[in-house]
Amino acid sequence: VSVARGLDPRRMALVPFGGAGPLFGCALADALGMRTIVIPPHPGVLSALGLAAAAERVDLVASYHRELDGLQPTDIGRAFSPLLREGSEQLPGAALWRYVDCRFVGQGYELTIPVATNNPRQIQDAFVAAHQERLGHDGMGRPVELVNLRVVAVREAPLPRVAGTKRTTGKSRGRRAVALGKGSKRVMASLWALDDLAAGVTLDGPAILAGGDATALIESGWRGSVHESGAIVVERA
Amino acid sequence: MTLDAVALEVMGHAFAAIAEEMGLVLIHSAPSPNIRERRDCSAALFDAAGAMTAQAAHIPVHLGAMAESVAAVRALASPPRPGDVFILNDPYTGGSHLPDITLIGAVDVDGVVGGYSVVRAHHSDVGGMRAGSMPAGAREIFAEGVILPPLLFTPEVERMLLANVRTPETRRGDLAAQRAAVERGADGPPWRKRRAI
Repeated sequence: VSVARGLDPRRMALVPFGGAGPLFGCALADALGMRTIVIPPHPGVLSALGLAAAAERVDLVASYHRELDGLQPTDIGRAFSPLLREGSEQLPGAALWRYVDCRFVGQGYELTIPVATNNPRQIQDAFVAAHQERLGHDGMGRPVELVNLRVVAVREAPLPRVAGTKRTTGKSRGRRAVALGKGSKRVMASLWALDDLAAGVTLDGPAILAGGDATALIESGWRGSVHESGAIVVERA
Repeated sequence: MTLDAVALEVMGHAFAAIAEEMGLVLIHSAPSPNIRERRDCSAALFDAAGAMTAQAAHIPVHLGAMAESVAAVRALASPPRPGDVFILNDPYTGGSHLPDITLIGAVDVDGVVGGYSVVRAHHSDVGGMRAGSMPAGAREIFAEGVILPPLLFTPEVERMLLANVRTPETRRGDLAAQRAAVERGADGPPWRKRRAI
């Protein structure tokens, strides 16, 4: 994806996740010429954590095809009210955000812009500014029409407290002989408890980090440093 | 300047992504169905010597002939200056059929023309003896529509063109979208300017 858009991955950090993803972080970073790897806290359940922490959200949309010029603020307020009611019924206590899909009359695509106001003049100004920013011109006075009204109801979930947990391990659990890569000789790797590493601990490769939900491997030539969040920042030694 | 294999791949895709985005700017903001629905339009980037560096996956007959329009602009008695935008549709100096209007932007790179950002689009009318400007009964090109040799695209040139077509308001909107697409190409890669949404 990055190369397809002309972005150079060598200037980015690799974030390996999944139960076995962090085993291959160094190998993949080597292949891509990347210099930094960030192993997130609890890499084996990263997606599940994200899902649990994500805000609850309901998207509502109603067709409302009118030229802005002929509308009064009360028309727009009245058209939004069933959507706002529906949003607070489906998600009590949620914040309600209002958007309109707008275009110049004759266009085939709309821009979705946030609107806090019912004033047609202000909606038009916000649309023309967004059109100038995204599509490079101001429509030269063409009339503007609404196509859809949208309400997004958002209720935030509590954030997981990964940084608050106490991690105390500062020493390796021991050493183990491992063969890394095809046909390579066995080397001695240090063993660590992935979930219990104290902030600031330095991990010189080769090191095996065994956790409850994932195993990570720091290969020779790389050095990890434990961030206070529990993430491990791995860079070339 | 030398590039390693990764940098070459990254740069190649970056220029192609710019050309694709130029096409999206045009299609998403043009009013005429001929451009926004039929997508009879094409975008590409050229280097300072007039050689194509990147094209979007658009209309082959547009893209194949587009280098001729850059060559026609570069051959003008007064050469392009950075930031200039030219317009043409003359089949004998870089155009295809008359409804295909091409805008050629001379890209300003550190004060010199560093390349060209080019967008060609089929405008649904450019005058002539029949609406649509592709009359079967035409005996000579002058019956097909207004002919634009390579010209600096000034407000005066636009007024002259709009006075000779049947749907000037739609043309004006299409030309604004087309000019915006040329300017987006001259802006450079999409990540240089972070946009909302």
